[in-house]
Amino acid sequence: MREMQYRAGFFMQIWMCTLKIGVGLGNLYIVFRQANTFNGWSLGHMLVLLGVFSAMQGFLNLIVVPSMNELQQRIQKGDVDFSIVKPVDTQVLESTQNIDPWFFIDILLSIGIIAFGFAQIGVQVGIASAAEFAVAMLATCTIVYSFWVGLGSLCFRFQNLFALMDMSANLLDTARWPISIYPAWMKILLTAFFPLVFATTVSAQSITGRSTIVSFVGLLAIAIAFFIGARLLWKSGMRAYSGASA
Amino acid sequence: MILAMRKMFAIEIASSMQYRVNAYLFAFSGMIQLLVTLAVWSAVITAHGSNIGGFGVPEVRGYFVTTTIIGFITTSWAGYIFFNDVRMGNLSVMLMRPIHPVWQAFAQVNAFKIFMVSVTVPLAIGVGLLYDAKFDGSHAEHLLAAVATAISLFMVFIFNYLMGIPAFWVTDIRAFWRAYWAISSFLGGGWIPLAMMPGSMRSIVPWLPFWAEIGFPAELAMGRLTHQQIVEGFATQLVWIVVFVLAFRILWKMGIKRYAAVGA
Repeated sequence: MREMQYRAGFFMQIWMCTLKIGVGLGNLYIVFRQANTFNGWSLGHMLVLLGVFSAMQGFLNLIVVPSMNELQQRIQKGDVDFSIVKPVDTQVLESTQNIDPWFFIDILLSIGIIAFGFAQIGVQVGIASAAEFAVAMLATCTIVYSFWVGLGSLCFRFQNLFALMDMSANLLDTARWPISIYPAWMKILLTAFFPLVFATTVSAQSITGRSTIVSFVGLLAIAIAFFIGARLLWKSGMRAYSGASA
Repeated sequence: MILAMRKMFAIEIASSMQYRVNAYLFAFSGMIQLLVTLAVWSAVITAHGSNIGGFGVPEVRGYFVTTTIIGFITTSWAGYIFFNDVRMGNLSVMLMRPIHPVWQAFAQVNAFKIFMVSVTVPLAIGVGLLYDAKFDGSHAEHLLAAVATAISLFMVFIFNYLMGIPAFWVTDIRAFWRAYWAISSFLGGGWIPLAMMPGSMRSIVPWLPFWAEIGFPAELAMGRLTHQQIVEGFATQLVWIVVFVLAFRILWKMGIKRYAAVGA
């Protein structure tokens, strides 16, 4: 609600959103000017992938990034103590404390892009595909949430890693494209350490009925593993945190 | 003056040393971006057929490795620092020093860059070798490209510093900066080679400062430019530097007057 007070912020948000979507569509335009398919993906499928990526990015910027950005300052000021004494789990509190509601616009636009992509492909969505897609998106969001919480946990131990933001942005951009374009060694590294590429690819495939059982189950397994991993990292970070009064 | 610059540079290197982990992380994330770019363009050219505008897969890989290296050598963020300094009131302190703040910014940015570039260049070349990237171009052209890169370093620095000058008048131009980033990375040739831009743009883009900063030295190093294009490229660089420096001097004078008038 506090965001609503600033009209300038509103226009800034619309502008940023437009830029982001514009960049995404611009990328596709450049790629598809040269050929009709991209590594076996048609324009429609790539649009769906773009929509999935934008939705994931929207989710990230809606809740996770604002909250985790605040975390570093809150650690330095000692405000995290207030979360610790509350009866609700600290990780839940810290990772959801800040919501940037403008990114609902991003998410709506992403759904629009997915729908547009569908129109290009001309395939009907079955119930099974839709359910599979919902679960895949949930897994994707879990992975991206876990990754950011893991990064945030580093703030308990290391101060001032401002380059991590830039690195995370670049890592995130890998997920714009289907995983098949990357060389084998990159595929392995990305799936092991930053499986968002795998996640967005499988999510985009699931709604168009192109995903396999193996990749879908793999995605769920990775999501669970990352969630647990993030939790462990968080706990470890909390142990290193001695509190503001120390 | 020279002595002051050397001292300042030494101080900035010592200062940047503390943040060298960040410098290495930036270099590393630049590598990720390079790898994504290589993967995407390799896929595009493969889907298209043989080559596009003289760029086969090995050539386009060589191109992007080169633009990545040049990008890291020439990058600058001094304008953004300056903007924040003015908004936070630090400018008053900086103005008390006998040397113009712009030189301190220059030292600061380039000191940090030394750490980044020391990682970027070997990694980028390594990636190039790993992917059989093709680097043509004669030794003379490589030398000229190095000169062009050096000129570009100054060009980017002044252009970026100009992005911070509005601090004297406005409180927040981040929206404008985002647009500037998007435009400059697109028109600079770091994401799309000139040959693959839409036809109508190809006649204009080489005259804009963005391409003169990145695409021109890169294509020069790869031996893809004719003699005339090389001359035109250098001319473009020099003309824009003059324009930027003039703009800087004028705007700085105007801005400082206003800054002092507001009772800083």
